[in-house]
Amino acid sequence: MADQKQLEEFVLNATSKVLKRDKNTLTMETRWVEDLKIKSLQVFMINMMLENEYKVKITMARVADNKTLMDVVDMVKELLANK
Amino acid sequence: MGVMTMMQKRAQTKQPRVVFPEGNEKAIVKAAVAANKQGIARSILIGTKKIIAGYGIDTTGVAVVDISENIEKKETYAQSYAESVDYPQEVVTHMLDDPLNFGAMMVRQGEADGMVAGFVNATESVILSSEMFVGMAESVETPSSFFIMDIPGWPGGENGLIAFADCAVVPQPTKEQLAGIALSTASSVKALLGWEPRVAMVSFSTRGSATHPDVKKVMEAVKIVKEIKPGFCVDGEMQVDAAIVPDVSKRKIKTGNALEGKANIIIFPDLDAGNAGYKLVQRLANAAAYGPILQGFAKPVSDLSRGATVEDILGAATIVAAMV
Repeated sequence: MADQKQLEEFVLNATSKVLKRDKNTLTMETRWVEDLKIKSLQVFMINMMLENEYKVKITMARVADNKTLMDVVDMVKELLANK
Repeated sequence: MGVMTMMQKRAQTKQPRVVFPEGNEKAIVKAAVAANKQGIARSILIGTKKIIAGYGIDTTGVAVVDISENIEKKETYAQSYAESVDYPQEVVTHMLDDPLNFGAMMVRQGEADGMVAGFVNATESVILSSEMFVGMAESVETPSSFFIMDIPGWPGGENGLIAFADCAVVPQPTKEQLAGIALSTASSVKALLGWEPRVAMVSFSTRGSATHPDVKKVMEAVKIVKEIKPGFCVDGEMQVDAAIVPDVSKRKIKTGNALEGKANIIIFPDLDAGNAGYKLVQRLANAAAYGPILQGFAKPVSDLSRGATVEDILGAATIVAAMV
């Protein structure tokens, strides 16, 4: 099972890398759409990083419910638990 | 001359390399072989050699790429992409196991000129893969699509033909996206059919006859297009009748009338209008609607419906080849 802090750190790093944003401007409460104006392609690229790291399958339909970075962490935890 | 015949002739003068990532599907193999035989494209199939051979179809002249036999190429592709985009190489390597991504990467790397996919992959996957690996055309932010409408008995447009966009992909384009759709469509019809674009960006207003944020969006989109391409034949905002009926255009647009009611491209303000528009023309005017044809990528990509026939796939390959 993935460590919570590790997972949060990974999501922060992945988001920072794909959006080319300073990681210090991001928190778990940061919202994808309202705060980051994230595009589908960027979501896809972050998903691929998560898939590669945690060996889970993430569909775009599944991510549609994610509002914040913490929601992404919770999604991965759920996918890992159901593996 | 019919639209498909025009596109076929155009494709045959270029015979570009078209990659089919879903090469394990029999219908795809048949279409790829046909495209080759008809001189439309030099087909490249991505698939498992054993599966393709098992169909008993003569694939002479068609290149077959088996990813499992191209590990070094996969790594080279991944490294090149990772460096250019600053993205983890190991993630790209993993993604390139998917033939759809591998095919899109072949286009990026110049080893194919266009791609036809969507027979087994969802449209969203085709679009995302193409956006990520093929990349977007200059000044275009968002993939979109267009239709070529063939309207019997209508003397306007290009002898009864007119392009409508976007009628299938972008629900609520921003002004920047709308400008991108206009530029993409102009580029697409020029490549596909040799038209000189005459672009009308439509609204429920003509030259400020109505005031509304939606009208303002179109006005600003027109401005953006003109800034990006000065001298480009684009006008708006205008109502559709002003775009396609010369007498109405003359009455409603008093000065600086660039199109004079002779638009050959209609850019709708949003997907509601675009989708309803093309369906109305198709049904009420018995028009043939060719599309939706994807556009906006750096190189041509076509999306297939899951129930596509061999003929449909060949048609998509013809369009991609003609657009190169």
